[in-house]
Amino acid sequence: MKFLKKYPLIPSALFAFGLYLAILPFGTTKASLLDFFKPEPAPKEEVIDLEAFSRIPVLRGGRVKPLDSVARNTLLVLRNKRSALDQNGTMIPAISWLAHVLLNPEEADKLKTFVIDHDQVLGLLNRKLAKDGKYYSYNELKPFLKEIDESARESGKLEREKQDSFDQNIIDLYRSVLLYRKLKHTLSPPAPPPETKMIEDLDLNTFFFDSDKDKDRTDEYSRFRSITKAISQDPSTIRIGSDEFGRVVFLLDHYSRSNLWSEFFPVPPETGDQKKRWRKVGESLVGEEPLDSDQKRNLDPAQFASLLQDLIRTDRVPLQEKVNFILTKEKLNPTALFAAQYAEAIKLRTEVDPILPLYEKLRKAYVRNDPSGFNDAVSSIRRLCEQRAPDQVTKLGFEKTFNAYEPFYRCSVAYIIIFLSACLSWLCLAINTAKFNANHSKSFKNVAYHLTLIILIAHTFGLLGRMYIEGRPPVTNLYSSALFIGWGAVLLCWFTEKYLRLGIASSMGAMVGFGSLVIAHNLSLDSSLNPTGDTMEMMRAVLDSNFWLATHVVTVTIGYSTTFLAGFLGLAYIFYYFIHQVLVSDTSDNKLSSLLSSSRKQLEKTLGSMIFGITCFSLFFSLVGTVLGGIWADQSWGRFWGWDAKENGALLIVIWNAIILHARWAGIAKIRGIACLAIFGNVVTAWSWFGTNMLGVGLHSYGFMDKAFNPLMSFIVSQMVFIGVAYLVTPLRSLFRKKQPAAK
Amino acid sequence: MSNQSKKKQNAYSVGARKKAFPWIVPFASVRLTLTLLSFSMILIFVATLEQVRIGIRGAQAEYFESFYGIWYYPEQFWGGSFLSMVPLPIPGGYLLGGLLIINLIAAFITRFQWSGKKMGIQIIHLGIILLLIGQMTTQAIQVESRMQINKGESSDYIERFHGVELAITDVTDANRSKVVSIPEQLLTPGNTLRVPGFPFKVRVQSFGPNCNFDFKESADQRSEITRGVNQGIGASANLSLTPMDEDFSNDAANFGYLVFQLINGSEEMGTWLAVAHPAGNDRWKFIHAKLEGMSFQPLRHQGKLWGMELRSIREYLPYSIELVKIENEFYQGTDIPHNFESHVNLNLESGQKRKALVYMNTPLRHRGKTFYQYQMNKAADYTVFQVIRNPSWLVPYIACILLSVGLLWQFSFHLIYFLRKQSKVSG
Amino acid sequence: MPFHIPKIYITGTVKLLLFPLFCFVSCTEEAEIQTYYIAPEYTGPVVAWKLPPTWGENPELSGPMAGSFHVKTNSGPQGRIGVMPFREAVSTLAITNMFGMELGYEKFTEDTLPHVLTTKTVGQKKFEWIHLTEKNNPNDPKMALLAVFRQQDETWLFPFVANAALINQEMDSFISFLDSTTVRAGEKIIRAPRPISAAPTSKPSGSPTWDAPDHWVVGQASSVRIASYSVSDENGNELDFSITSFPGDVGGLQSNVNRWLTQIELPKAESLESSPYLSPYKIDEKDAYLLLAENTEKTIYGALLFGKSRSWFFKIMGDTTLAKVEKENFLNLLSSVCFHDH
Repeated sequence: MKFLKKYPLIPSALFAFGLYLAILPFGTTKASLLDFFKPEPAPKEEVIDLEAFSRIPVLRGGRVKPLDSVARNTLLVLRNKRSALDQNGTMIPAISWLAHVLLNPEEADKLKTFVIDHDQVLGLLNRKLAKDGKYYSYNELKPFLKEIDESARESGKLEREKQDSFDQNIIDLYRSVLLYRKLKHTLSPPAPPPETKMIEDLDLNTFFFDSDKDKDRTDEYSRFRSITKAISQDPSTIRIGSDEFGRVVFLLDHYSRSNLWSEFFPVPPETGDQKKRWRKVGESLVGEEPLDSDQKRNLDPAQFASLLQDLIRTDRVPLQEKVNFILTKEKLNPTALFAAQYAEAIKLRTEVDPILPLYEKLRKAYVRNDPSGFNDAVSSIRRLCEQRAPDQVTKLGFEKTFNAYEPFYRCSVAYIIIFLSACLSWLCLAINTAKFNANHSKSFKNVAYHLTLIILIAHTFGLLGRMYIEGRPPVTNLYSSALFIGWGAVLLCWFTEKYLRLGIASSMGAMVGFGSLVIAHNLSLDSSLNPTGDTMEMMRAVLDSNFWLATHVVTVTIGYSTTFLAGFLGLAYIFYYFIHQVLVSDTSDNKLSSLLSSSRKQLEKTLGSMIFGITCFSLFFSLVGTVLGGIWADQSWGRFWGWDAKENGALLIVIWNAIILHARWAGIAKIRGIACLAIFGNVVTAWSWFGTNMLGVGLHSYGFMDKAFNPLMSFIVSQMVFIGVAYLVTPLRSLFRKKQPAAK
Repeated sequence: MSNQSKKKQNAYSVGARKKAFPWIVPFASVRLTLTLLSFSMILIFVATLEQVRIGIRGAQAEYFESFYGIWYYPEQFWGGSFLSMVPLPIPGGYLLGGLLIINLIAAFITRFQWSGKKMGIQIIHLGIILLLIGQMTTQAIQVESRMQINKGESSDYIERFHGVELAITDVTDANRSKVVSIPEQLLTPGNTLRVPGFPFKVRVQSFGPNCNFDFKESADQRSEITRGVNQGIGASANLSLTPMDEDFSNDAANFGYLVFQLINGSEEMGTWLAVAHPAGNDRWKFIHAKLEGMSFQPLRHQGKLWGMELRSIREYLPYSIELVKIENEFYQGTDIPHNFESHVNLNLESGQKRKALVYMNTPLRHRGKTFYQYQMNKAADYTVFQVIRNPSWLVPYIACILLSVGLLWQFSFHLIYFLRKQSKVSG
Repeated sequence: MPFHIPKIYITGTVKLLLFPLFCFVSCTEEAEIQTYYIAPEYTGPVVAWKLPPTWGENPELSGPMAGSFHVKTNSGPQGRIGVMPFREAVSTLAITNMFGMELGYEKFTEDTLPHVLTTKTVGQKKFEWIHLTEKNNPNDPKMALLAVFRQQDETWLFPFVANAALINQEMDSFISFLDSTTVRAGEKIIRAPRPISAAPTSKPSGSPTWDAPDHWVVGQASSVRIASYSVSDENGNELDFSITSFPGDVGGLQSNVNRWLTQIELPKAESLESSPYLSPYKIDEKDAYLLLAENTEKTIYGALLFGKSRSWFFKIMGDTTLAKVEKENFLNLLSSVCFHDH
C-alpha cells in the first residue's frame, strides 16, 4: 500500500509498460534484449529449422549478411513491411517467406508478396482497393506482367521531374516484380525456353534439368562439366562451325546470362581467391563476365576461336597467368577478354562447387518436408561458409538477433508513452484535485524522465548495433542521420530534464525522437534512396573515411538535432503562450488560468534559458561541424569551401543560430521573439537536411529524393503557422474581446 | 561606483574606446550584424536555388564573387509566371563579406570588452574574420586545373578547367620547342597583337567561349563567322560554327573558338579558325578524322615550322608525373565505388624519382600544388587529377584553430559557471 | 588625456586590415603573352618551305604526305608536288620503282637504275635526282621528277609529277622550293601509305567468318588484314593468304585487278570483259569476282567483293606449284565465308 502511495498506479503501469517495450519481445519483434547475450538456440531436429536457415550467410549489396536480413530487406521493398503474408493474408515470418521463394517457388507465387495501393495501378490490374485489398501474390500479377512492363517502360522514358505518382508507382511495381523474380532464380538458374532453335540444333535437348529424370540440378551441372572437360581435352574442336564448340559457347552464354537473374551471391569465396569474391551460381560455373554481355557483339568470331584454342592448349598454371595478363592488359579488346573468361570456364573451373549440391539437397528436403535432410543441409552449408569466409561471418548471429529486436520500432512506440506521461503530468497540475494533484504530476514527470533514460539506452543500443554490424560511425546515410538526430535530441532532453524536471524537455524530446524515427522509417521505404531495402548500405569511395564520418558528419548531425530541439522548445512555448492568451484574461478566475498566469514568469525564464542554452549548443556543433567539413573538403577536393548545396545548408544553420544568439544578447528579441526565431530554425534545418537533397546538385547529392517534397513543404507551412499564431493571437484576442462586451 | 570609476581610468575600456572613435560606433552595431547575417541567409538560399539553373560555378560567379546579383523568381514555382518578371537585387558575397569584416573589426575596436572573461568571444570573432578573409582570398587567387595521364605515360603540364589560350609553338628545333601563348583575355575581337619571337601579327576577328560546329560543302554555306576562313582546318573541313553561351554546369563541355588573321608587315597571310576541345585537343580525332589537325595547324616560314592551336590555358611544371597503375574497385554486386587510386611516379627536375599513391581523401602535394584524384577511366587506362594551387590554404586552418580555442575558452567558462551554480543549488 | 594610443594608429590599423581585402577583390591574374621553352612534344615530321609564287597548296594531305602542292595555271591547278618523309632509309631503287611502273618502265634493277639517276646539289643540300618520262606517249609525255634527300636515317622524297612541259617550265621554282626546305622526320613512324580507316583497334563491323584448312598457319592480323595464314611445303615454297578489308571501293575493280596482276608480273588487263583471269563469282550469296591468275613462277588466286561501304579482298599468292595444290582449299574457304548479315 505504501508502495502504491508513493508510486501511484497509472504512472507505475506506464513505466512498467515502457520498460517492457524497451526490453522484451512483443508483436512482430520476436527478440528481447536478453537474446543478445544468449548463445544461438540449439538446432531443432524434428521440424524444419528456419532459425538456423535464417543464419546462412550470403552476399548482397556489397555486404555479407544472414538470409534473415535478405528476407526482411526485400520484403521492405516488396511489401513495405519487414514481415510477410501467406495466401490467406495471415502474417508469417519473413524467413519462411524467403524459404518458399528460394526453395519452393511454385508455392511462393501464391503468397501475398506485393503491396499495390495506388488506385490507377490497381485499375491496370482490374482490382479495387476497397474490395481486393492492397496485397497481391505473384500469381495474381502474372496475367498482367506485360501491361506492367509496358506501362513502366513508358513511365521510365519520362524525366524524373515529369513523372507523376502513377509513373513512380508503376515503376516501383515493375522493380518489385523484377526483384522477386531475381530472388526466385538466385539458387536455380532458369532454363532457356525449350522451343529455342539452338537447343535443337546443338542437340542439347536432354541437357537441362528435368525433374523426372534427374536427381537434382547438380546432374545438369555435371553434364556441363563433362562437356567442358571434353573440349579441353580436344582443343582442335574449338573452331567456328563445330558442334562441340557451339554447345560450349551456347551453355557458357546461358550461364552468364543467368547471373543477371540472381539477386544475391550464395557461393562463398573459393579457397585461394585473393579478393574473397562471393559468386552467383552461374559465376561459380563459368566465372565472371569481363565486360557487359552486349560487348559480345563486338568480338571477332574467328580471332576469338583461334585465341581460345590457343589458351586451351596451354597448361593450367601458365593459362592462369595468361588469363590474368589478358584481364589486366587487354582491357579494350573484347575478343581477348571473353576468350579469357571462356578459357577459365572450360579449363580452370573443372569442378562443381560443393555448395551447389548442398543447396540442391536443401531444396529437395524442403519440398518433401524432410526436417532431418533440411537441417543437415543447413548446417553443412553454414559450416562450409565458415570455413571459406571465416572473417566475414562473425557478425551474422548478432545481426539476426538485431533484426528481430527491431530497436527503433520499439523506441518509437515507447516515445509515445513518454510524451503521454509528460502530458498527463500537466493535466494533473491543471485539474489539481485530491485524486490528481501536484504529487501525481511529479510522479508522471519522473516516469517520463526515467523512461526517457531507459528508452535512450535502447535507442543507443540500436545505434551501436548498427555501428558494430557496419563497422562505421553512426551516421552514414540519410536514414541513419534521422536515427541519430532523434537520439541526440533525446539525450540532450534527458540532461535538461535532469536539472529542470518540468516534463517539457521530456515531451519535446519524445516528440523529436518519435518524429525522427517515423521519418527514418519512411526513408527506408523510399525506393530511390534505398533500392535494396538494406539501410546499412556500403559507402561510396569519397565518403569512405571513418575519421571524417565520425567527426564532421556526427557533429553536423548533432547540430541539426539540437537546432530541432530548440525549435520544438520554441513550439512548446508558443503553445503555452497561445493557451495563456486565449484562456487568461483579467476577468477570468478559473483554476487553470490562475495556474497559467502564476507560472508564466517562471516558465518564460526557464524556457527562455533552455532555448538559449540549446541554441548555444547548436551554434557550437553546427559551426564546428561545418568547419570540420571544410577541412575534409580541403583534404579531398582541394577547396575549403565550394558553395555546394549541402555546405550552404549547414552554413545557413550556423548563421541562423548566430542570429538567434546575437538577437538575444543585444536584447532585440524577447522570449516570444526568440521562440519564433527558434521555430524558424526548424525550417532552416529541415531545408538543410532534406531540401538541399531535392535540388539534385552538388557533390553531396548522395541522397537524392523527391518524395519528401510535400511532407517538407507541409512541415515548413506548419512552422510558419505557429510563428503567425504567436504574433497574431494577441491582436486577434483584443479584437475578439472588444466585440464581445459590445454584444452583451 | 568605484567600479565605474575604475573603468573610466582604463584607457582600453569600451567607453574610452567609444569616445576615441565615435565615427566607428555605428559600424559596430549589433543590428548591422543581424541585418548583414539575414541578408547572407537570403544570398545563400537564393544562390543555392540558382545552382539548379546555372550550376555551382555560375551561381558562384553571379552571387558569391560579386557585389550584387539580380535574381528572378523561378518561373516553375508557385505564382512564378507573374513573380518571375520582377528583378530582385540580392547583395553579393563580396559586399556582405566586406561589410561583415568592417562590422566585426569595428566591434573589436569599440564594442568588445578586452578582458579575460570575454577573451573567448574575441578569439571566435577573430577566427571568423580570418575565415571570411581566407574565403575571399581563395576565391580571388585559387587556380583549379586538371592533369590527365595515360597509363605508362607521363605528363608535365596542367590545364585550367576554364579559359583558353592561343598557343603558337615553334617545333623546328629538335631539342626544344618554343611556345608563345596568348591568353583569352587578350583575344578581344579587333585586337591586333604583336607576338614576341613570332614574325607575324595576330589580328583577332572573333572569339567566344563556346560554340556548336558542323561541316559544310563549300565556303559560302558556312556561317558568317567562319566564312572568311581560308587557311588551315577551318578551310579544308569547311567548318561552320554558331557561337553559344558558356555553359557553367558541372559537366559542361565548352568548345572555345577563335578566328584570327596573321599579318606579315602589312600583308595579310590568311585567316584561320581554331577551336579548343574541352578535354584536350588530342581528342579531336575521336570526333572526326578531319579535325585531327586542330591540335597542330602548321605555319611555315623561312625554314621554320610553327603549330597553332587554341587550347585550355596550360601551365608547364618543372617536374612530371608518370602513371604506373590505376585501381578502381566496386563493392561486389553493387554500383558503389569502393576505391579509386592512381599509382604514380613523381619525376623531379633533379632526376629523383618518388613513388606516390593518390586516392580519395589523400592527394599528392608538391611544390605548392595539390593533385587530387578526380576522374578515372579504367577501360581506357587514364586518370585525371584535379590540381589546385591555393597559396592561402593555411588561412582557414589558422581560423579553425582560433575558433576552437575561442569556443573552448567560452564554453569552459559557461560550464564552470553552470556547475558552480548547480552545486550551490544542491548544496 | 587618459587615452594613449594615437587615434591615427588604430585608424591606420583598420585601413591596413581592409586594404588587402579590397586588393583581393579587385585583383585577378594579369593576362599577358608568355614565351617559354618546353621539351619537344610534336612528334610529326618537321618540314618548312617557301612556296614559289606560282604554286598553291593542296588542302588535304593524304597518307604519308607532309606537304602537297600544285602549279597554278590558267587552266586551273595542274601537276602535283609532294613532300614525303620516311623515318627509315628507303632505297632509291624502291622509290624509283614506285613511280616507274606507272610510267611504263620495266622494273628497275641495280643495273638499270643509273640510266635515270643523277645527283644534284641545291644550296647546301645534296639530292638524288631521278628523271622518269612516260614511255608510251611521246607527244605529251607525263613526267616524274623525283628528288630524294637523305639525312641520318631519314629519307625525304620530293616528287614532282606533271606533264613534261610544265615540269620544265617550273624547274626553277622547284629548285628554289627545294632550297627553301628545312626537314626533320620527327618520331612518328611513317613507312607506307596507310589507308584511311576508322580507329585502328576497332574491327570493321559485319566481319565475316570462314573455315580455314587445319594446316594453314595463322599469322598476324591487323586492322586492315582481317586474317592472315601462311602455307609452305617441304621445298620451302610459300603461299600467303590474307583477307583484307577497306572502307570504300579502293579504286574499283580494274585498278585492284591490275595491281594484283602486276604483282605476279602479268600484263595489265585493258578491259575486264576480255580478261582471261577474271570471272563473276558469289561469296555468301553476294556478287563478287574471282581472279585466277597463274604465271610461271608466281600465282595469285583472289576474290574481290565490293560491298556497300566496304570492300573485301581474299587473296592467296605465292609459288605456282604449291598454289595449284592449295587451289581446292582456297575455293572451299571462299564457299565457307559467311557475313552473318542475313
